[in-house]
Amino acid sequence: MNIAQVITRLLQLIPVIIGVTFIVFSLMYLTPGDPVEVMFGGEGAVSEEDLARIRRELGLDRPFFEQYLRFLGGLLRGDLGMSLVQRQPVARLIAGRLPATIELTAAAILVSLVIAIPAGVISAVRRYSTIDKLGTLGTLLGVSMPDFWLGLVFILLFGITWKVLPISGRMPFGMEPEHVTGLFVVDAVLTRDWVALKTALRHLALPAITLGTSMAALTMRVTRSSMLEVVQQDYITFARAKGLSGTQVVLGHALKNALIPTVTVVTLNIGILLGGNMIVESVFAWPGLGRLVVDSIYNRDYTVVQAAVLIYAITYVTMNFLADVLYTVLNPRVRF
Amino acid sequence: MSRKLAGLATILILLFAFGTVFAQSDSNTIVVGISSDIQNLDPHNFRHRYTETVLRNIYDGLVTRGPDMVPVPELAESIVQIDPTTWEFVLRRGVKFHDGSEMTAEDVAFSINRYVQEGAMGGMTSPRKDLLGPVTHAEAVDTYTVRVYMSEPWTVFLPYLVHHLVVPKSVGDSLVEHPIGTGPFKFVEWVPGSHIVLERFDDYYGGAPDLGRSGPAQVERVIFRVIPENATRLAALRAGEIDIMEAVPVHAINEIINHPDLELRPVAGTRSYFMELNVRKAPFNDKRVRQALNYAIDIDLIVEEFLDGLGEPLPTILSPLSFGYNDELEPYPYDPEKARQLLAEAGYPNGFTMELSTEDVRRDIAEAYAFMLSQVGITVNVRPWGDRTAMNDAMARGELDAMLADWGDSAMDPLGIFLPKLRTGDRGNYGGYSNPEVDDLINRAESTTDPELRAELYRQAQAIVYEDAPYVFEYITQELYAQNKRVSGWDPIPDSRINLHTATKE
Repeated sequence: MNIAQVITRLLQLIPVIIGVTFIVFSLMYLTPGDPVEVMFGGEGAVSEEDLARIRRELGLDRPFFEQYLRFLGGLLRGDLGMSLVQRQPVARLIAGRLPATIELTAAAILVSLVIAIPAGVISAVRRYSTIDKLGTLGTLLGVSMPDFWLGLVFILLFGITWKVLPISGRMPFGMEPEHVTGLFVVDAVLTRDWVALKTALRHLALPAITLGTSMAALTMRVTRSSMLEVVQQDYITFARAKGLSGTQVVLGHALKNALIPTVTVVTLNIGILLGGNMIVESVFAWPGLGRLVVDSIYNRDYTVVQAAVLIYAITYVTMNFLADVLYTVLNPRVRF
Repeated sequence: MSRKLAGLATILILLFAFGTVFAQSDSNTIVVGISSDIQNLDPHNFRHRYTETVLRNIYDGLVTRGPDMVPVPELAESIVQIDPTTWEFVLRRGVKFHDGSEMTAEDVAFSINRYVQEGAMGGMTSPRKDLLGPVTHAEAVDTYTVRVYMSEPWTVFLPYLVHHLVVPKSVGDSLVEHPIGTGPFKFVEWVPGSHIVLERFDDYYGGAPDLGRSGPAQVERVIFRVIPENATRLAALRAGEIDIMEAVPVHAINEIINHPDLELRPVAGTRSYFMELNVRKAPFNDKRVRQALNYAIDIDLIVEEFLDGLGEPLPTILSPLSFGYNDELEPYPYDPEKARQLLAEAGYPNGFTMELSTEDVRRDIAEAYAFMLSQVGITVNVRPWGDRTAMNDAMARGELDAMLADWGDSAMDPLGIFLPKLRTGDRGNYGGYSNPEVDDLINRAESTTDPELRAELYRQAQAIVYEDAPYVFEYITQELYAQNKRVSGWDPIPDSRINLHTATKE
């Protein structure tokens, strides 16, 4: 893909994103329940006049399209609005939660790749062997086990029975590394704070393994089947005929082509994970974006939910775009 | 490549497997696991129980209350009602804010005005404004005397004043970032979604003497950790990551009771549960049918089976701890024979079919009611709702037959529950109940300044409501806390505050 193609592809994203803003805004507008009443502690704790006054202060009494245009206008200026409940800028609330989610996403992806790619490749190369069968069984289990269940099992085993890992939270008070990026693992390495690094990794372990396991299952299956297809192709036979070793054939020639479907799965997974995994974040009391969204839904903090959903959509669209670009890197013959 | 991976895996395993669990739990720190994060740090800018739970440790009020829910002076030394609409508070001397400045009448007046006056919170109005009802403003008479003025007499001023917290005038609207109060603990940090850290305030004046409190807090530090998932919060308590657990799920009761290091701490709640009936339409417009429903349902059994006994059946919707509770009324007994007889008298000898709406969380109880009612010939279709507001709205529009509902009243006064639910056309009266006698008693109760008379009027009103049975009266639940046995000197209280001033830890 040359630069012009990349730009065309980027421009195509714009109408998609505008469409998304409209859908998101409409959905929130149509959701039952009055945010202003919720702000005031639920069912009618405040007189009708007061409610009307607050609605006016927040601009919630304006017609739908006016509210939508204001919302769009704010977006263009990078203003995601004010949280109805916390009365703070939504952008700040979201920014506060992003590092936790990014860190967990990166760790979970790493865990899943470390498991899935070797397992997928070995399963494909040694098709129908014991390893393959075990791998297939493992992925079946991985796909079938719900995250919250797996998370709780890990908590009981590692936190209570064996007492080797902390079970909740991201970093105990007073142990945070000096703030650089907000990503504790990165900050700890940058400031050479090895105690913080160890603590951060230990807190990261259970949520990352929980998330990574279920993702690994899917990734491994995709890698395996794609690898199977590739190793049967003529150029692989040719490479073998040339006298290359098995490892060279598999890793040097087959893997790169076989990874194209894997890239799709992994990038889309990253897109989903960057939204914050609500279940795993709740189970492990991980202060990420998913929890912010769940809390905001409960509090009917519409502006936060709306901004978060929008960010999800944009992340997803962006990851899709990145996947497209990556295909062409892996296989220059792919054209759009 | 695989060798590199193996290396990486080994490093990771070493990191994880050979470390001791860091439980942040020395004897100078009490860690409380709460199920919901706070909403913000400004004590005048929330309507949210967890926020109050935490902020009450940073801020004190003119009055407070202990486990018996009776208001007692805290920052006030004496309280006098000068005339029906004016109250005078003489403040304690030498009370310090966390920034070292002395609390004076100016601060108290500012705090009350910030709460009750429109636009007084940096242009916004406090969402807590209505919690001080008819209070119009406050003024400092001298350094240690404050007067509070109202537009009309208000007998429940003190129970509601419990929810008001005093802030320093000098700080004003920067409270959002860094709260400064007069409470037993100073604010250290809030990491949203994760934790709130508080540190002992060494210059604390000692708190409410009527509650036997004095001196600074016992522990150096308090951490409120946000752990939304019940199972994780319980696991954290078992693992020693937290010392006190809020919102224990009923199914975990036995596990806690049987655990050698843990203790269950139940306390009466402030939330009443009931089945609200749409009294505008047949057959619920007939008092006999409504009474029949009350007789046909075995609330004792529900409390036993679904709440593990941790609830109390109610004769109306008012809590036994509430002001003006009529203790002569007995909850409707379980008497299906009587129910059948009443139904026959009302013209439904073969029963009828009705729909029972419920939030999803109480669906199991709704199904149990459906079974009990089937025993007297009433066929019940349970309709679960995901959204309580939508369900309430549908009931208010008269579209539903009946719904399982609840109403919280932390002031423990009929004003917070009896009036809004039972007065004709009031804000919480979704079922459309209307009895001029009850309206009259409530209105008279709210216009008198004599607490005894007010209680008596409400007792009469309860007797009428009991007879009218606009609801199937259910129960009030207990709130469940659990704690590590190392912690002592702390008691849960019905309005969900967790005050750790006197708590200690071995």
